Amino acid sequence: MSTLAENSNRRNDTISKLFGFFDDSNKLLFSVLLIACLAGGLFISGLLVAAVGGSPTKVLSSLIEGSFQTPGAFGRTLIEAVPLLLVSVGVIVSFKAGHYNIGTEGQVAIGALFATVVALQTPGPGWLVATLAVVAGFAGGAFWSGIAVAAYLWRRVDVMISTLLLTFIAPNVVLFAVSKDYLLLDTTDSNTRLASQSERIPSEKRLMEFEVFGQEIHLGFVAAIIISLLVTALLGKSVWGLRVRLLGSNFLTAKRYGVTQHREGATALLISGGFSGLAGGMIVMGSAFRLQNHIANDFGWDGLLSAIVARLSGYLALISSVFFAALRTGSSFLAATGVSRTITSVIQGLMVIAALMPAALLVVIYRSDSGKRIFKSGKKGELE
Amino acid sequence: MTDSPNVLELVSVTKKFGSLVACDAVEFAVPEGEIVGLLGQNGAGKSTLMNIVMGLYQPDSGKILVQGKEEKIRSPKHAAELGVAMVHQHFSVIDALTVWESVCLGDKLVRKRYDPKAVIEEVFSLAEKYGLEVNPHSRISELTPGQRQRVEILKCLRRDPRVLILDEPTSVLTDEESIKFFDVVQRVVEDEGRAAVLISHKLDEILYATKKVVIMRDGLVIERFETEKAEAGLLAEAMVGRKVSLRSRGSAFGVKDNLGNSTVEKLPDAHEIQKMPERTKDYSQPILRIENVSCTDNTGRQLNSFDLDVSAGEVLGITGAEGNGQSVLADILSSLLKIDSGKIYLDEKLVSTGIPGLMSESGIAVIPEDRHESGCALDLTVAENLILNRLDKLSSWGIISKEKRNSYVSGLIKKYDVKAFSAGQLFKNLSGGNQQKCVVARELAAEPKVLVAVQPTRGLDVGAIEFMVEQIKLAATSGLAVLLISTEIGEVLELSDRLVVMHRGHNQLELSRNDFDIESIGMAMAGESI
Amino acid sequence: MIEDIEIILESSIRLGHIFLFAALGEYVAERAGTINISLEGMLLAGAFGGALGASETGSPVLGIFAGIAAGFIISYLQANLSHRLNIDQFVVGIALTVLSIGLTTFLFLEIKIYSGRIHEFAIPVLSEIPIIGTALFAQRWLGYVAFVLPFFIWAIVHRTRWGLEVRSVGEDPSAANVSGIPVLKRRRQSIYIAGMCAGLSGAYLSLAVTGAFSQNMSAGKGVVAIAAVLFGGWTLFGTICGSLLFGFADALGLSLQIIGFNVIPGPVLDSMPYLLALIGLLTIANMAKKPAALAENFDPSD
Repeated sequence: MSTLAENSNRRNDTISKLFGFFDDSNKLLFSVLLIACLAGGLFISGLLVAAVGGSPTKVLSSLIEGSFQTPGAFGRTLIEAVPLLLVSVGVIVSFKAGHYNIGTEGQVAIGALFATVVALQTPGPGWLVATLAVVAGFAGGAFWSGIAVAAYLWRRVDVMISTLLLTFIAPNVVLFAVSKDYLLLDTTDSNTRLASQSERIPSEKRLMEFEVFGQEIHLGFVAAIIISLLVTALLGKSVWGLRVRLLGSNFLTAKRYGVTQHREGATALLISGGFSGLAGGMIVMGSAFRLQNHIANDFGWDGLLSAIVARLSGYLALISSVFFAALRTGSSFLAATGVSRTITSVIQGLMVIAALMPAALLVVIYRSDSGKRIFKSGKKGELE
Repeated sequence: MTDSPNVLELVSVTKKFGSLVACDAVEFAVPEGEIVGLLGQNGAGKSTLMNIVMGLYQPDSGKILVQGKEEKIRSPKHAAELGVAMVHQHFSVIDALTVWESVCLGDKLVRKRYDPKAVIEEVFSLAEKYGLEVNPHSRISELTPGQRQRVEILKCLRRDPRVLILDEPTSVLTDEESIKFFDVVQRVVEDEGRAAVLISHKLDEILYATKKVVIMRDGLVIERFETEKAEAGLLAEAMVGRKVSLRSRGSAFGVKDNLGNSTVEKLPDAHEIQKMPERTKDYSQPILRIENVSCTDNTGRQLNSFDLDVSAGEVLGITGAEGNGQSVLADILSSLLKIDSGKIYLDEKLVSTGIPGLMSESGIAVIPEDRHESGCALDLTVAENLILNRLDKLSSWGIISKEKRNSYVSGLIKKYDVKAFSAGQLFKNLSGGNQQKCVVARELAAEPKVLVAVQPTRGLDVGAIEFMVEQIKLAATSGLAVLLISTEIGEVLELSDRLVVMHRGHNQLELSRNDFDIESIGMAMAGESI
Repeated sequence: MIEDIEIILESSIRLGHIFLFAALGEYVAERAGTINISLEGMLLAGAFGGALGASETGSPVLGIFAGIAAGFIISYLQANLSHRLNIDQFVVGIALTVLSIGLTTFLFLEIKIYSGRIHEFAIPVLSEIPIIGTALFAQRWLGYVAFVLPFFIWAIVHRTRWGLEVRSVGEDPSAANVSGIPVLKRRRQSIYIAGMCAGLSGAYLSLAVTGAFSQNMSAGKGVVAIAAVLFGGWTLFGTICGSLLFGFADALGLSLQIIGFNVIPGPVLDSMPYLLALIGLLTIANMAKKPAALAENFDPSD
């Protein structure tokens, strides 16, 4: 009997709800299903290409060409993967805490805004300003998700809905900032038509670039990988991580052991927003070099999807974010095939559904009569 | 044997779950005009049997005859069409709906037209006919448990069933309400030529209401009695299947001695209570002291100026009908609720309430009523579940030490005999009994001063019950103050050194072991002051 | 001044209908216990389907049906993934929204669409009423559905057995289950209603409001429609008020910019519906009692 059905958006067992029933004993079957589903998703994309008169193989080869094979392409892909990875890690933290922060796109934009302000208006040595700017990006994203956190803690407004609404407000904030001369509008001679954008960030303040195996990469790449590995390890092995996951798994049990929405829940969401903001900072400081309208450019959405495709594993997110980045860079090579580059968003959507399917299919298999025969369930619950 | 034809007959029904045989070649018949009792402990297979009748499960073998005709009951819908209706233990009426809406919910099963006016009329007339006063326009949320039960039975009767299945129908009713309820059922069955199955583990209610009684244990039908010839002690023994311990029998007979012929006095245990070895300990130094505490949770359950103290080595049983404030008390001691007024002292130090984690930190261990709600985290591993209250001890610099954790966890798994593939297994893949063991292990391993056990044996099988009882005794012997909150009166009688009956959020009656007296306990539960 | 008010009113009604149609469907889904995040995707699919259907057949009426069908397809996926295969409803919603955005954008670039626009139909006499006349009675004819749809939704939710079952499923699925209500089926059906309503809303957007499809033209309107249901405290009347209020906010933002009112900067005005929805959630929505099983999965095998 529920005595404490709080008037809150309790979301217990996030992980099982997301990925369903997962019996430890059947990892093999599960992996086979996963691969089959992902392949199925790609196959459907191919059908779609064929349906509009394109050639699936050509599309595939130009995607690969554009993302890996042409000179510098791999580097570009890796640079695109940086914000995706950061967003993914943030999403993982919030989902594991039982909160669906799905407003990452907005947090990326605000992070980019904060980073630009600091980068353009702080004097000092370039490396220091660049670092501060990226940190400011984190603060910006955290601030934007912080609004949702406050709304949740104060009035129990569903985080999912509030972060989504904030996502549609964020671009307007950015647009406002880059269209007012007293704010960030570029008023230098180069911008004679007063396009809505900020000044370029001077090259000495940008993230340091270097060359690895002939690929141009910036420092953010290294930082992103270190940070994601670190956060993933902390989530798994630290007291903080366990408490966050406990909150996502059962918030009443969590409360009994001193884990609260006010502390662990809020910090998880702030960190989550912060990582999206950090991604925004990296975009401005590492590749865009100026703030424009639509600066987030779907990085927030793609990072969110990449986290789901990675099944909320920080390690798998390393791979999935590169995959999503490859889709982004490769899509620019599709023009030659006559198929619209937006096919990549279709592929993304299908991949997400594919990643969710295996758990559901497992349930179907287990419940079916033949499944029952084959997998005599090792789990025995009590009767009644 | 009676001459009346059988309305419902089960012939050699068998149902297995994996390797577990839930019903083993069960023969069961319900003649017209009779109420047949189905008695058994939790896990005896009676609910499984009824779920088969309701079409929720398909039997592996055997057949079901409804009104003499063999039927394969495919679904609850099919069951309803055949005239089998169930009054559920947990109400199937929904808070947000009105009475008439609840009554006609699911009407489609019997192909009734949706016609609010007719339903309201019908509720009025049925209510009058059976003396079940209830206003069809009230919201369910405004009703008392007794009134809800009336709605439940109205809903059932409206479909004009041949067989009524009553699954623990009185678990939340007062005695008076129960008697009224059974009077209606008897009228419906005997005067109108229906039949009913009463599933219960309360002996007195079986003796009061039924003509025949069938006793199940471990999936088998153990005994059949004509109720007139049966005697409570016999039933209890058959149900438990061995020299009955006081606890099991106590849980079976309940305390409703004002239900018809009092059965309690006939039971040998009633004397045994006095004969139990008296535990003489010094209880003058209370560890947990609750003074004048008032508190309301958000479902409206209350504690009203509640007082309590528990000493080291003592088991204090708290009983009472469900919903009289026990859960509020448990929630306060789990740091889930903040009290409105009053004071709680632990070891003579004032403890604040409602601060997450504080109770656990100060040394109050809780085995919650529903472990899935507040006792564990299903998505975490067994090891992680076991260390939730020891994170500080097992970590350094905020990182959980793998070695410390492993040795701690494997120690617990061994000590409490938890059956898990590995400590890294997901908690949700453990069986219920093993999950409960983990909760107990975690709580006791933190070396608490107070152990609060809320309905610790509910829903467990016999082996697991044994384990729980053992642990509670052990905890008291090792010097913990134990608070046993339970509606199973037998369990409380057996284990407690002292007993408190709660009614409407306050302390209605307090007895020490020497003075245990079932009659006064029963009266206190019904709210009468002694 | 009066003209300005008329302009604002007229466009609030026009834009409010977009939210209204979608929110009415979402209302049914939420009463059954689902927060249907893919409403956004359904709306967009409806807009695309509407434009495509009208363009291919040359008939706006068929276009509307195509829009409704497109919304239904997305809802079919949502319903069966979340309430048959039991995958988390929100993640399914996100995935389907992304898929709809991708798919409509992709197909839009591949297929030439000339949809045309539903024509205006002014009701004689009534449309002459000052101030509100043009707003209410000189709409594109699809807009008049708004006079009917709320009653239809009210009737099916509150005056039929199906509606009773839907409400019971949103309040207490396990109790409904033991009463013999097919919980997941009712939830799926309620999502289909949401999908068709959102499809209608999308068709209205592309065929009546703008007269053409454009990339990602729903731009969060589905989310605002969800917020309207929350804002309305899960009551039908509240939902209608919420939708019209957000429509008004949207219209005010646009009209003030057209009128040349520039005290409040444009981007702020553009954010109006979202801001207002957020403020609404902070203030009014929490006073209401939500369906007790809202957003909770139900697994009948447990």
